[in-house]
Amino acid sequence: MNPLGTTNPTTGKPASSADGHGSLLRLRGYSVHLHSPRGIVAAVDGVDVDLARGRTLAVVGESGSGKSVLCRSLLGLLPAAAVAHRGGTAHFDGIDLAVTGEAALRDIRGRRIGMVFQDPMTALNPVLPVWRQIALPLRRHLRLDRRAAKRAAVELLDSVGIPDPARRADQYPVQMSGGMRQRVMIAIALGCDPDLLIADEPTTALDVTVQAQILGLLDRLRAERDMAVILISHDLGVVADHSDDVMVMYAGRQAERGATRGVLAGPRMPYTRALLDAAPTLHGERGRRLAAIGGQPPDLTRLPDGCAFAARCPRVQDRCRTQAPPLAPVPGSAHDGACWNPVPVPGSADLPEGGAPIPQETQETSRA
Amino acid sequence: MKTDDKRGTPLPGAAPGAAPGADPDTPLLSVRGLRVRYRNAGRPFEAVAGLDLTVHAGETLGLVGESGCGKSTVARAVARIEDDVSGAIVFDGQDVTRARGRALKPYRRRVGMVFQDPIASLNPRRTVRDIIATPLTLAGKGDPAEVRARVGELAELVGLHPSMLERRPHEMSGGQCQRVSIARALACLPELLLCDEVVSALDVSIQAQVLNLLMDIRERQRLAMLFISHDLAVVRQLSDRVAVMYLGMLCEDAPVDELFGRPAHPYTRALLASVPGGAGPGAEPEPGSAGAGSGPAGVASADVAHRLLSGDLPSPLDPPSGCRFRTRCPLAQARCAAEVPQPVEVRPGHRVACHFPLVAA
Repeated sequence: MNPLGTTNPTTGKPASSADGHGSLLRLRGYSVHLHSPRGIVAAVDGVDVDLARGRTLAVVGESGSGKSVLCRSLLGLLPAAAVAHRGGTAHFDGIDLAVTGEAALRDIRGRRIGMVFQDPMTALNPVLPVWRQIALPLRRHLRLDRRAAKRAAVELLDSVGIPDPARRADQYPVQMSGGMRQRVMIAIALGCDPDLLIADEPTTALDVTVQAQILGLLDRLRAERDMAVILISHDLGVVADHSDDVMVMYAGRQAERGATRGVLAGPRMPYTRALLDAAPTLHGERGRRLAAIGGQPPDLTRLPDGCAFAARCPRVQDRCRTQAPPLAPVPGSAHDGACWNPVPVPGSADLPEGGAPIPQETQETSRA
Repeated sequence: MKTDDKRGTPLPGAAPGAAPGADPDTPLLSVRGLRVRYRNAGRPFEAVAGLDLTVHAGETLGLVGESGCGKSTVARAVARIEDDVSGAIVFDGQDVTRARGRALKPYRRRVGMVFQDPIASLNPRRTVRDIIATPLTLAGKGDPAEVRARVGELAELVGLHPSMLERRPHEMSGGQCQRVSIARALACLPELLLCDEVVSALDVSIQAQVLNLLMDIRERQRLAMLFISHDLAVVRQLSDRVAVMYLGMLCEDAPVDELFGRPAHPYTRALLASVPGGAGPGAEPEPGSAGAGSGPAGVASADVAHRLLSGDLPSPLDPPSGCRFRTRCPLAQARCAAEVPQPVEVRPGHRVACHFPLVAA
């Protein structure tokens, strides 16, 4: 499958070690503060991540929750002038991303970390045939000559499921459908066989039938290449079907974190619970009022002292307004939450007792 | 032309709109054989290629389909903002397909429209108060005190704080702008509201607020809605009946529980199977729900049509012959290429345009 025959065969190694030492990506207290017209914004505030090869971490949150800033910052894609302050540590395969220079970062970006952006129309160059765009990182990082790069580009188009790849390679983005363009984006991101793929709302601009194809493709490629994937999404259905672990963000902070199945089946943070309740489903009761979350997300330039969700929270207590809750294991569940007054476990029987933060089923098979 | 019964009296928002044409069997809106043509590089093509729809007073018809299927064009044609339209658009017994100018004014008051992009659909240079007042002024409700009072009522109806009325769209969030759009659409007490992807640009929590608002208003004013969305769960939440479109044509049309419970068109089934989190992200450990998300539990049997679709929507410039879905249909046969399937009723109120509908024996 790997058109370039580089390293990284699909090994059957255990997908994760729970302690974080086997992590490909390890963040501790990672913060990104940005300049804005109205002052400094804590766009990402104290985030911890451990992500191992072969696993998918979903980052969930509404607009302004910091999920895209987090990923762009890791890749050094934020304009330097916009960043007021970075805090905490970020290690990628042992390399400290904060101290590594721009040159070294360029070698990581696009080569070891691939990125798929939300809007495949604006992220592609409209005046270059797609093969040249796929070839750019191959020539830059792998020093392929033009002919080899084109051959590799065609193979990559084939591997992401584009029919008639040799003909398509010479086409321009405008000649392709949205789903096809997103496949091209994925081909670009995969070109150098990255260890980590960051997908920022990769299917939000796509129709539901095409979304299913693209997410299936990502699952298959992750399994084949033993990649780690960060999947940014606002869609809890996507997260439920296509991730191992989930981090729910609110106002730049992590609200809840753990195995996807555990978090979605038994959310303990009122915000997660509210998100689940607010989304209409194909099976729940219908025609009745949805459990909307009142109010608006907070102004990030003027975050409250306490919990950022306190003003909208149905379970708010006095303490929530004065003291921000730290992320900590929630008693009675296998995941972490940042809440002083977590949602009680409904029927605690089917939830694993505390302890192992990663659930049993590690090596997930492709759901394509 | 028809005189408008509401002219001059700005009724309070809570007053139930008197249902016109008391006969419950006469639809409020009836669209027959609708065709809408666009031009692409000079070459005409049909974005809507012969569509029949009805919406009864107080009823919500959901219209779903993928981008490019023509669902927005249907709303624009009904709103009479498309030019090249044939077929018939009949509203409350009157054919408005070719009405122009003055003759169209009463219709414009009785049909409101809310668009997808909440910020782009508002004039950035006007205050919220002006924006909401515009349709009232156009409708001849000229008395400034009356307009002012009515704008206040509308703001309250859609949950906008009075202080917001002096703001401009860029000073507001997407959800607030969508409330303004809804208030503007409701200003003249329409009987039909056309909603084109009104919550697609909103976050989940705000989306729920706006959906609740629409449901409340619908109940209070006995408002009919044509609710267009690509999001099946949202459509299911709001609609009484649902119509599914593909490449400018109707696939299936049924009461909401029937459509989601017993979809008969292979395309409807494929759409439902594509929805992520099929087992429901709501995650109440529902007993009997089909386990890991391979497909919606509402489509229980394991037949071939549950496979995910491959490929993309064909170009409407050059649609496939016969059934337009046949190029992606897992069940297509020779007849599907030769003959356009006509909608037939497979169960009461449930129409399917398919030569081989999936009707359980």
